Amino acid sequence: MSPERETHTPGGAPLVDFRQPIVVPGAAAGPKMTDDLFREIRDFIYRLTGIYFQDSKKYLLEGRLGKRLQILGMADFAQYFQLLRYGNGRAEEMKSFYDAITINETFFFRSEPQCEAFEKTLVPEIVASRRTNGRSRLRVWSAASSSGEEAYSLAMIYLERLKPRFPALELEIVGTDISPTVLETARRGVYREYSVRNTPKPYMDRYFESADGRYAVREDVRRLARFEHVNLFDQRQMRQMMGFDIIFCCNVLIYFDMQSKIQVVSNLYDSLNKGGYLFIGYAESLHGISSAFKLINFPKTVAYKKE
Amino acid sequence: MGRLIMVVDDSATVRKFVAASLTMQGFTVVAACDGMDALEKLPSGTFDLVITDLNMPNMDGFEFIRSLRENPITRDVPVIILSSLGDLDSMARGRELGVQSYLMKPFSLEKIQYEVSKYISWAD
Amino acid sequence: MNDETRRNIATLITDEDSDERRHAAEDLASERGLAAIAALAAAIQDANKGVRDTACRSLLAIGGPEAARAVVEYVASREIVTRNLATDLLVKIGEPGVPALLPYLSDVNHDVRKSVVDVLGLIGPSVPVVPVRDLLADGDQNVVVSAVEALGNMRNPDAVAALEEAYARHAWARPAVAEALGKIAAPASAFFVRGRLAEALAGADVDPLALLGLLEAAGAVCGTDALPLIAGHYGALPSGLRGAALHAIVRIAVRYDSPLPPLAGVRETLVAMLADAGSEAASSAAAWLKTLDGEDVTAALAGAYGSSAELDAVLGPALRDRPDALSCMVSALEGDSGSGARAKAALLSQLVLARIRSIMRRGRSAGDEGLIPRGFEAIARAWDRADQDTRSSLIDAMFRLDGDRAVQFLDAVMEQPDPWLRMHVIEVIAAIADSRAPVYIARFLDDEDEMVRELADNLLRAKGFVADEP
Repeated sequence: MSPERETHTPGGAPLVDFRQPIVVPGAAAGPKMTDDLFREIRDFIYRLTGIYFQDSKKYLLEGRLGKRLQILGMADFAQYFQLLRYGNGRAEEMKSFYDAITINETFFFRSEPQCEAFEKTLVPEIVASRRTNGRSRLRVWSAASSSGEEAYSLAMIYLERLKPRFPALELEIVGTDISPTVLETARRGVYREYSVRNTPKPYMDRYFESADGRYAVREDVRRLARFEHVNLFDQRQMRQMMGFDIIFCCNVLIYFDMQSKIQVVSNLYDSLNKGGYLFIGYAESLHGISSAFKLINFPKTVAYKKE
Repeated sequence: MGRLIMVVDDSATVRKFVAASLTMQGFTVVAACDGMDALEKLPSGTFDLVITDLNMPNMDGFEFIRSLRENPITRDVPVIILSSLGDLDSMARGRELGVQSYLMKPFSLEKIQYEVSKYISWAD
Repeated sequence: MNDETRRNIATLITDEDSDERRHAAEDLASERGLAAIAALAAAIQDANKGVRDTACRSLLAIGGPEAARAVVEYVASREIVTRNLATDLLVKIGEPGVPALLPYLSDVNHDVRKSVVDVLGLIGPSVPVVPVRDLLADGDQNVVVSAVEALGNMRNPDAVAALEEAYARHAWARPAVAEALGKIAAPASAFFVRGRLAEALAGADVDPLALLGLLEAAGAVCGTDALPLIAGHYGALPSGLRGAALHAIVRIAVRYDSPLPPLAGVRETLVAMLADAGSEAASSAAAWLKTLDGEDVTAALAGAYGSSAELDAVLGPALRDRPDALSCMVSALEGDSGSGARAKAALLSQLVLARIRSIMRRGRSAGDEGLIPRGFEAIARAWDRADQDTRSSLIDAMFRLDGDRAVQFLDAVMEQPDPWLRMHVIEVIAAIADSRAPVYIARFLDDEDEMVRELADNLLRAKGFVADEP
C-alpha cells in the first residue's frame, strides 16, 4: 500500500486532512454552554412554549444561539440569557429566539392520506351536518403552520375539489406559529423548488406562478388563509382560538413533553366545534395524552373527532 | 407472506403468550395494549383477524369492535373476543357486534390455535 | 365551599352543554373538598367522552386517598366504560389508593376481584404481598391467574414459595407462574425453575407456553448449570421457542461473564430476533451475532440498524468493527424506505469517514472503487427522508465521498428552505481544500437570510476573497 499521503478520494475529490481538526477559517470557535445554563435555558423555553429540549439536543441550542451571540457581539450565553429575561431589547430579540428554537420542516401536500380524508370525508360530512342550520363557513386551523405550505395546500384542495361541489361553502384558514420568520414567509407565499416537490401537476399549473426558480402562490389561494402568531402553550392566546371545524397539528407535538402535550391537546379539543376533527402527524399518537376524542380510521391515517 | 393478526389486550403477559401461540404457527402478529392503540396501529397493515380483550383502559373492547365495524376497510374482518367476562350480557353484545367467537380466559395454546384455525389457515 | 365551587359542581352535574360540564370538571381540579371529589368521580359516568376525560385528569391531579376512595366503588359498576376508567385511575393514583382497594379483594363478584388484583399488580412493589398471595387459592381461575401476574409485577420474593406450589397444582396457570418467577428473579427459585425446565425439555407432552415461561425464567434466575441444559435441547425445540432459548442463554452468560456455548444453527433464529427492534431479545441477539463472522451477519446487523436506540447502541459499535460494514450499510440503506433510513444514513457517513481515514493511512484496497458511487447514490436518495441533523452528516459524507458530485448536488441543497442547513453547507465547503470553494460560497452572498449572507461574507474574507463590487 502506498506510503505517500492520499490527497484525493477515490472519486477524485480533494481530501480534507483529517489529522487536523476541521477549523472553519473566519468563524469564531463556537462558544460553549455549561450544562447548568443549558438546563436554565431549557426550562425557560419550556415554560414559555412547552417545547422540551432533551439533553441530547444541547448541541442544537448551542449552535443556533451561538449564531445569535456572534451577531449581537456577545461574549457568552449567560449574557444572552440575561438579555432574554431582563434586557431592554428583549422583545425584539425574542423574535430571533423563536426562530432559533423551532425546527421548521414542511412542504406542500405533505400528507396525502390526510388531504384525501379532508377532501373526501371530513368536509362533506361537516357540510351535510350543517344543512339544517345554514352555516356555510368552514374554519380550519393549521397549528404550527411553519411557512404556510400546509395551509395553502388545503386552500388549493378546497378551490379545486370542494368549491365546485359545494358552491355555497366558504373557507377560512388560520395558520399559526411562534417563529416570526416563517410567518413572514407564509404571508409572502413564495417558495423554493424543495417545497413544491410533492405537488401534483394540476395544482402546480393552476395555483402557482413560477419565475426564477421561485414559486408564488396565486392570489385566490392566498386570500383564503391568514397567518398569526400563536403560542400553543399560552392559555390566554389559545382561548382566543375557538370555533374551528378542523385542526391540523402535525409534527409539532413531538417537541413537547408528556405534560405539555396533554395541555396543548386539551386546548385543541376546546378549540373545536362539536363534530370537528383533529389531525396529528403520521407517526404520532394521542395514546396516553387524551381519550376525549373518538378515533376515526381512514386509509393510512387516523383522525380524532370531538363528538 | 404469512397472515397478519392483531392481538389487543392490556396485559403484557397475555399479549406475549397469545402472540407466541400464533407465531409458533407462522402467523405475523401485531400487538396493541388497548382499543385506542389498536386503532392507531390498524393503518400499518391488512389484518386477517383480530383477537381482543374487553376490559382495557383508554378504549374497551366493545368500543374498539364498534369502530372496526364502522370503518369500511375493517367492517368484515373476523373478530375473536378473548375475555374473562363470562356474563350473558357481554356475550350478547359481542354477537350484536358481529363477533364470531368468544373465548373464555384462562386460555391455552390449543384453544387459541383451534379457534383461529376456523378463520384463517396455517401460513405456508 | 365557596360559591364558585358550588357553581362548578352544579354545572358538572346538571348543565346540558357538554363543553360547560367539561370546563367545570377542569376548574374543579384544584379542589380538595369531598363534595367536589365526589362530583368528579360521578362524572366518569358522563355521557360525553370529553367530560369523562377531563374528570379523570382532574381526579388524577387531586390524587391521594380521597380521590381513590371516591372512585373505588365504580370498579363494581355494571358499565364496562365506567369500570375501566375507575381501574385505570386507581392504577395511576397508585399507592395512596391501596387501602381503599384491599377490601374489594373479597368481593362476591369474581370479575371485581380480578380487576382489583390487576390494579394492585400494576401499582407494584408497594402493595402488601399477603392479601394478593391469598388469592392464589381463589375459586375462580381468572382471579388466580391475575394474582399470579400481580405477584410477578410486585417483584416480592415472599411470593415465591406460594407460586411454586401454584405451579404444581394448576396446569393452566403454569405459563403465568413461570413468567412471574422470572420477573421476581429471586435466586431462591433457581433450583425450582431449573428442575421444571429440565422436566419440560425432556417431556413429551408439554405445554409450549409453559416451556416459554420457563425459558424466560431460567434466563432471569438460573446459573451457568442451565447453559448446557438449554443448549443441549436447542435443536429439538420448536422454531417458535428457539429465540427464547437463545435469549436465556445470553442473559445467563452475561450475568456470570461466561462464554457463549458453541451452538450450531443459531444464525437464522438470531437474525429473526433482531426484527423485534426494541426488545431485550433483539439486544441479546445482537450481542451474540457480533461474535460471529461472515458477511451475512454484517448484513443482518446493518439491516436492523435504525429502528431502536437501545439496539443501535449495540449494533453501532459492532458494525464499526466489521470489515464489510460499509458495503453492507450501503445495501441496507438502498433497501430501507422507512424511518430507519435516517439512522442508517448517519452511520453510513461515519463509516465513510472511517474508510477514508484508513485509505489515507494504508492506501486504497480492492472493492473501494464501486463502493463510492453506490454510497453516494444511497446517501443522495436518503436526503429526502432525512431530518435536519441527518442532512448535516449526509452533506459531510457526500463531500468526502465525491466532492465533484456533491457540488452538483449543491443546487438541490441551496433550495433547502432551512437557513441553518445552508449555513452548515457553507461551513463544510469552506473546510475543504478545493480551489472551487470560494465560487460556491459566493453564491450564498445574496441569500435571503441575513445570517447566511453574513457567514458567507465572513468566510470569503477569511480566505482572502472579497465579494465583487456591483
